[in-house]
Amino acid sequence: MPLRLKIWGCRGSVPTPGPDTVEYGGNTSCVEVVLGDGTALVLDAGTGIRPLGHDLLARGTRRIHLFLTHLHLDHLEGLRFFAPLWDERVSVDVWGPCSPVSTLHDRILRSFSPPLFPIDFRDVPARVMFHDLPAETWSFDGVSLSSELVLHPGPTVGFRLETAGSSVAYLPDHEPALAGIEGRPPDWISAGALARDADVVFHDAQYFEHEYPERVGWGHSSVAHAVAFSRAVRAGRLVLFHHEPGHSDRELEELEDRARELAGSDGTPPVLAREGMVVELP
Amino acid sequence: MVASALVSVLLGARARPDSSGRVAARAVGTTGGTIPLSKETAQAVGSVRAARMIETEQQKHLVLILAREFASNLSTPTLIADAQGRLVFYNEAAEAVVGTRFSEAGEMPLDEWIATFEPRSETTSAPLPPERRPARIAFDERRASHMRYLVTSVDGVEREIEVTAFPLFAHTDEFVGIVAIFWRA
Repeated sequence: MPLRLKIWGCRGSVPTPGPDTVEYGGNTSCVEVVLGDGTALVLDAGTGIRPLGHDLLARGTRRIHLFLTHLHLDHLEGLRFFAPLWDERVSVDVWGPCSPVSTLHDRILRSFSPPLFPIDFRDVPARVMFHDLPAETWSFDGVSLSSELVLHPGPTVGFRLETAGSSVAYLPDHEPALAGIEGRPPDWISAGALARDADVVFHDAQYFEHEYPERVGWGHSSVAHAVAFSRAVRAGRLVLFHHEPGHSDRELEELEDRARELAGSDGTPPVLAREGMVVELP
Repeated sequence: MVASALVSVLLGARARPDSSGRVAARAVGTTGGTIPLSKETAQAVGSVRAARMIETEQQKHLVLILAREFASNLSTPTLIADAQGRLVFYNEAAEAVVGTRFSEAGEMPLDEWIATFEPRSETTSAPLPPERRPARIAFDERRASHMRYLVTSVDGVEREIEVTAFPLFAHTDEFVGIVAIFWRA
């Protein structure tokens, strides 16, 4: 079975609908991993999960695993409008990082109750289970999935998906430069093992280099850091993810050009994530 | 990297072809078939991955990575050991004291490294067993520890130092290693 991922949202921080973002999309982070047995595996619940939810119900999906990298709003705000949650025939397992003082369940419930939302979580008709991360490696229909804590404010994980023939790392919010990339052994780079030798790495590339100095510590990477990380872990292809909300389609293409310039002749050129993009590996 | 991997990135309805050869679909490597896996096989994949990590370098916990960055910016001699008791880093200030760059010393059991400095009681000059040293106390008992004792520096001179060691717990109370800071008394 091939490893097939579809991007439903790749914008960072806040949804950005409008004429300037039509090409790469304005929905926040959400990636679907398409499995052969009818189970849905979803990475993050940004606003991209809303159209995905309708699509899953139309396909008759009844079993869903949702993996959250962290609980910043742009990775969670679509969950309340995820249609399968409102269908009693559906089971949803939600996996995500707990905090030192509260479980994943308690953390999510805060955003799922008044005054932030009119309906309490206990009134959700779907069967929902919560699981704290990071944990052991799981397997779903031929795909193994593992997680590690990564460098981003608050408890945050990244994911690695792997089959016998290929691998993908998903690091939508990640600032490895804060603890060093170049000149560091890979085991000392945040998420180094998750992304090592991956065929494809989805990586935060929110900023141009000149934008980064005023945003150090905000948890995101410049395009140069994304390329440096990809090179350090020997990734096959870098997919530039978590687009800055202030960047128009044209600016994103400039960012992609810069990424390709920085990557030089190393491997396959970096590419911008866009809504609707499908990444398929054997 | 899997040599036979086929990576096709389908860019959606509107690709952006240009003179550099950007096209709607790209392929890397050679064409490979698709391999249906049972769940058992997939679990084995996870084991293979874990084994591969052990064969190469062990990924350092995020807290250790952050601790190293913190220590790298201190002028106080500082060392870090992981949850297995291996010395995994000491900073430049510590290098000046011990006389060896960490990149030359490399990772090793912390007790073994400390023993090279012949730690001794400041009161009796008797050898200080590992279990009484702050680093080992922080490691074994998972609590902070402080002590003054004698060592023989790399230059052969006996010196009195003070050591403070404390355990590191990640956000789920997972023990990930220790930090030891030392000063000349």
